[in-house]
Amino acid sequence: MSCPDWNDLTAHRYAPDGREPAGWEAALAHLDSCGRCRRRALAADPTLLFRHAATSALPAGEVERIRVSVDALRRAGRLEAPERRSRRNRRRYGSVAAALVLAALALLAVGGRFDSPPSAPATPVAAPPADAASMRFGDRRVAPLDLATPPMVEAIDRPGARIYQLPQEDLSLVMIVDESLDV
Amino acid sequence: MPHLVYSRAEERARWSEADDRELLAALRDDQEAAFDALIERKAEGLTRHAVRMVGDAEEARDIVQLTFLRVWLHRRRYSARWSPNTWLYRIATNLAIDHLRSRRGRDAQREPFRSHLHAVVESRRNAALAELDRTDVANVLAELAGGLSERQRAAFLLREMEGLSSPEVARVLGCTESTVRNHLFTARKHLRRELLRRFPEYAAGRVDPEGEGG
Repeated sequence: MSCPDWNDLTAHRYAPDGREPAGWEAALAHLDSCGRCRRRALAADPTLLFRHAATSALPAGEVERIRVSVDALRRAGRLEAPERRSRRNRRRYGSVAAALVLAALALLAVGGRFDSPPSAPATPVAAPPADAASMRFGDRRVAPLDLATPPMVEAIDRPGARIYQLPQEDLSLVMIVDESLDV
Repeated sequence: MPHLVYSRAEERARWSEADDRELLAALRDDQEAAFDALIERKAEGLTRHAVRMVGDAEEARDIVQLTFLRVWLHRRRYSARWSPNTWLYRIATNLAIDHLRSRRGRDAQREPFRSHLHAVVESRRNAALAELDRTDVANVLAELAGGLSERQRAAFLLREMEGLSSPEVARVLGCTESTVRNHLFTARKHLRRELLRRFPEYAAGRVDPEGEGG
């Protein structure tokens, strides 16, 4: 190839569309073997200088070092993967369980506001002394001394049913009476 | 006598005859020896490219290692429609661009290198220009390329240094050819202007790193 006109060739490279001119690759090949063209080309386009930037070979053993490092990274990734998976699963199930507990608590809280518990115990009241066990004292009935502490009666929301609590010194007796039961 | 011992080196040697596409196809079948052969074949070119991109040999080595690791992790995503080189350079270039972006904030740390470069250039100002070696040219390029965006730098290096065609550069960078031409235009203009302004002794046709010839 004869020496090309480098001013003309390189001018194309600085046109806004940046297209390289026809025959550019052949001109570059010629440039590598023609000292005169090298000077002219660099004068026309100094950036061609960078084609001569160092392309030094890698230090001896560098490729093997890269291979060994990549191998180690791969193996580390392989070991890490199952562990990461199980950690991820633990996290996932843990958060599901926590969400369920929170949801249950929220439901209880909301439900409790609209629906009062049906078996909420009424405040127990003292039962009147029973006829048989009481003694007449003037116009009044008085419980015998050993029944001085009257049983507590608690009503529940079931007709005819009551709970008696008979507090004794060393024994607490609870009786549930339900008239509707046919025994 | 039958071979009873598995030799990875032997396997690697067997794969060294295969072409790039065959190697990448073998990776899909988890052929580790094919992967070794690919590293052996491509590490040097990718390292050279990564050094030019990030301007630091140590960082470039990390980028190349990560490139190969990604190749292995995504080996089943490789499509035969891709040129193997384009695929590899795409991964390496993207990693280098990410690296450069993350390094922006640390650019002040490069000031010592800059001062060193100016000192070297100053000391050689009066020396025979033919003595300026390729390493100096590489350093000047690294210095001036700092004024380019990551993608402009990648486009310039891939086209001018690695010799990829504009369509190939477009595939590597994941953009259109016209965007690549635009990057090249901007990069060349910047490099020419800065080279003439800051390192005039390297420009104007006076530098001939390889001596007279032809």
